[in-house]
Amino acid sequence: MLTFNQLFFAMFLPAIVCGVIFAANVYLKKKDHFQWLTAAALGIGYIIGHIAIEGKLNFLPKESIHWLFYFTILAILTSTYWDSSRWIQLITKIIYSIAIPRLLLDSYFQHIWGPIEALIWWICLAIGIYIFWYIVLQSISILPSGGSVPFVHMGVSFGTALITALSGSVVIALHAGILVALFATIWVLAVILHRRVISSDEFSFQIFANSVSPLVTFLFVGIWINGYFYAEVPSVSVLLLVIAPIFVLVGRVDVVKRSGERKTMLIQIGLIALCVSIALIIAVVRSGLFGQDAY
Amino acid sequence: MKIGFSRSLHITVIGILLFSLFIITFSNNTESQDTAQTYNIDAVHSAVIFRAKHLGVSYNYGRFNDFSGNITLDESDVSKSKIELVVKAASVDTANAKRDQHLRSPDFFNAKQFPVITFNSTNVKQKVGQENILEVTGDFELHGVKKSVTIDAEITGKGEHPRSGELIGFETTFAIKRSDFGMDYELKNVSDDIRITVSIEAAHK
Repeated sequence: MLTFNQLFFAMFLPAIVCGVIFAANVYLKKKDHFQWLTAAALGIGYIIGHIAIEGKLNFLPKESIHWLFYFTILAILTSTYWDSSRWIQLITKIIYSIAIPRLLLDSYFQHIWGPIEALIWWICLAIGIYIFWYIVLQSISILPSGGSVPFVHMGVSFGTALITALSGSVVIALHAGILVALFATIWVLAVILHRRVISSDEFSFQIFANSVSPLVTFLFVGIWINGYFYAEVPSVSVLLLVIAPIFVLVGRVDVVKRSGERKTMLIQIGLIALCVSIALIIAVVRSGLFGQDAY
Repeated sequence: MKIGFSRSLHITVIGILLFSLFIITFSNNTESQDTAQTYNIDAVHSAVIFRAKHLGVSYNYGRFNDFSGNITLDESDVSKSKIELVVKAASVDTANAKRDQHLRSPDFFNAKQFPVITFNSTNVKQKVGQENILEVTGDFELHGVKKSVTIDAEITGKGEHPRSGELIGFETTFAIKRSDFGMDYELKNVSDDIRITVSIEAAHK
């Protein structure tokens, strides 16, 4: 059972801080060079939630999930120079894709995997992270501006939170819970502000710019890796969560495109929701929630 | 011929000296082996169990099924004795598979990141006025956090096994606060105070 303190400090407070920064950013009516403030709003919100759950942190982190605190700071810094050059983006993606699995899975590298097994896992995970980062960028560019991108991420993080809690780690689920609160806040504000401010003629503001992609990638990947490798989340559920956002690509299929912007968005979100729901059903079945082992 | 005789005399003297040195060294080793006996923990006849209070109502018990270790006991000088115990965190068993899975997860033992729970003694002394009890101070590492603890280990018996030979038994019960080791999930529902009992049967190496 979540206590009021946990709910307040791990979800409401991060959401409030994130919302204030995001709304201030929108009302400041700054353009592209301030797009990174969306990443900062999400990142600072996550850092507050992270400290509320994990308490005092060490460097180097004692537990794998603590790396997410440092990844968030790196993601905010990365978002400030994200749009500077394509080459820098490419190099950044490669470096982080290689470094993240090594840091998160240190105990596997040290105690569990042999050298060859470790190398295979490392290569596969690095490629997987790189591909997922590409999917996140695609979701930002393909989905219509407004609230659809944060709505999709809210759905995926909601599924992640439930699946992780069912599979055995409430602590990791709480980290996904922070994301639910943050994306929900951005979504609600995006819907409200889109009508009032964002869509006005003299102002073009992209709610979810590409510079948010490092943060979204680091946090999702960090939580999924922790869930799968340390908390026994079913592999099929994790895979379905990873590939769910790929369904934004159906928006590029001609037949779907012709059905109009609104219908296309509904198809995209529907397919993503279906993917997350299947992942959730598998986790429920595997959890033995209603079986004899329930405790 | 004279040179050859002298050389062989030298070789003989050096040989005698080396042999004497070997005897002295060997006899010293024999003496130390006689006083410091090393035993291997027999996991089949030993147990590592713990209890925690659930919802402030009842004590729930669990055990670890996979552990190993050594005990070196020097009865002539107890301070030279040593106790080492390694417990595999993933072997936690509370007679409920789902609960065991949860206990292995990052909410509790985080068994993949911290695969072993260890105890290594740093100081052993005889408990004053209690012949069969040793006061053992050592480093107890749980959940990646190492802390010094002092426990009273009772020598529960000595005997002979028909196959493995000389046996010795120990038992200790001590309490820890799991939050001291960074295990602070659900402290309201599962007590912070954990009582651990280690009962050891060890066979002479």
